Amino acid sequence: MLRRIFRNAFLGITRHSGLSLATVLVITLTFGATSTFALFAFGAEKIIDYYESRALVTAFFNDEATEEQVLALRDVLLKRPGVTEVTYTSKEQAFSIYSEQFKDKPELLENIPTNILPASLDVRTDSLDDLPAVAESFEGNELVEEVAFYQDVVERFRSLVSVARTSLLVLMGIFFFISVVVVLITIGLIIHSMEEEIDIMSLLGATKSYIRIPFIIQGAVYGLVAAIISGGLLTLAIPLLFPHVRTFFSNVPLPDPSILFQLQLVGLEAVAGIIIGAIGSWIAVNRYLRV
Amino acid sequence: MIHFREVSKRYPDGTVALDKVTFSISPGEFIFIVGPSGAGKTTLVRLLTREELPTEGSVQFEDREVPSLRGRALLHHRRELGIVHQDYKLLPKKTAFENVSLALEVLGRSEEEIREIVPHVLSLVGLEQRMDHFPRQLSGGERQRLAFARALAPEPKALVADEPTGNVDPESAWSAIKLLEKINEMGTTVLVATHAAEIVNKLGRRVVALEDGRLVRDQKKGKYSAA
Repeated sequence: MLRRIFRNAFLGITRHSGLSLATVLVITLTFGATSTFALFAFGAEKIIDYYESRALVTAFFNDEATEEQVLALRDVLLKRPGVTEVTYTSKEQAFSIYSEQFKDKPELLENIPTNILPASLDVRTDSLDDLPAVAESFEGNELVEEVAFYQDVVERFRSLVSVARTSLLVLMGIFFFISVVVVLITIGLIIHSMEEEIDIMSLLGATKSYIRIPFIIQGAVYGLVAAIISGGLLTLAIPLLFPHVRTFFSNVPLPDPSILFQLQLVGLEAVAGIIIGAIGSWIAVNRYLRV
Repeated sequence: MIHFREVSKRYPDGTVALDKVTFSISPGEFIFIVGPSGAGKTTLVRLLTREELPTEGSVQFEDREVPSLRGRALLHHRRELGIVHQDYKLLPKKTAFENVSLALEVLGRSEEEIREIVPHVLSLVGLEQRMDHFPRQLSGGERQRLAFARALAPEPKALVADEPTGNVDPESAWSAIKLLEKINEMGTTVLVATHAAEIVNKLGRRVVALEDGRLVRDQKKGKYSAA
């Protein structure tokens, strides 16, 4: 029985080769566009993450603060939830950075004692939301002379990040919806062209499942083949395009697209292809099943 | 076996396809339903296969009220009827063998049975050399015989043919009628809707005549026209 069902599904694909090819092509293009956008969204999310993690609170210490005291405070901060990085800059390091920055303007370096700049701690967090609390934690600390935290800039950046993330999500949703609709319509059209076959089978006394299952398998195969082709093409395109993306965002440490990631991408597309293809066929066949 | 009682069929546009038609068919009978185009012959066949529902009256096959059949009961009913449609309704993307085997597959017959029955039925209608041909590769007469083969394969209790000689040359028409007679001799009830006067007159079988949806004549050994 199972052999018969699969044989009928296979014959349905091969005997309607022109239609099958057109269907696979349309679904491939749709999947290709959607997954390209998904990759773009994934990359954009990584870039947003990076810039979000670059925002910081800097605490400048007075001259009475010893290096041991500052390093002890650094250790406390590192244990704080959400804190990802705490960088200590000694008075000497601060001066050397200053000297490096203004090496072309020696007049700015003249008569300046090497210990004039304060030691500092740069604190970075996972999320922008954690930064204000970190800044507050320095309040009342006698060793801290000043806390540099540009709340308005951070707030503005945070709202920008939120808009960017929401836009990406909405666009992704729209893209996915359009993709599903295109696949459903395409499979609906191929099944529509087989309406007479469905009618004849009904008249011969075929059960709904006898008629329906080969079409569902057919739809799933179209989805699977299209997903493998589009996923495969994308897998080939990623190593070619990625170096250019990396050059463009040279300061962002973008992770390398691993083979595992690319396999996951093809696998995910294949599963989505099978599900959407099968559901599309199921809906379309039901429309013509009048038993 | 088959009973039409006070059957009427009116379409929403006001067309009356059948008007209070009453007659019965006994098991093993061979009956012609005759009349000009638009007389209601095809509607009668479609009511029997439950492709359409009557507006009034009762259509019975054995002890079953056909219009009320649903789901599995309807499938079972259709499997007991062999139907040859005017346009044959062959599956264009299936070979002659596959078109016939489909009628057996839906009954759940095994592959072995199908491999045995299909060639036998195809040879009965003279298509044993055409098993792997698609309908488009067959002549009009061959397509008609293929439709007969498909209707016959499941050994139906009754065979219903709607204008089986309408689209073929006279020679093919006669061979189709001879085939129907042979099937009838084997015990199958045969109902043929036709306007092929010559065939009806020559066979001298029972004739039910329709005109404008009304039953105007029912003769045991009838002719196409009353005169």
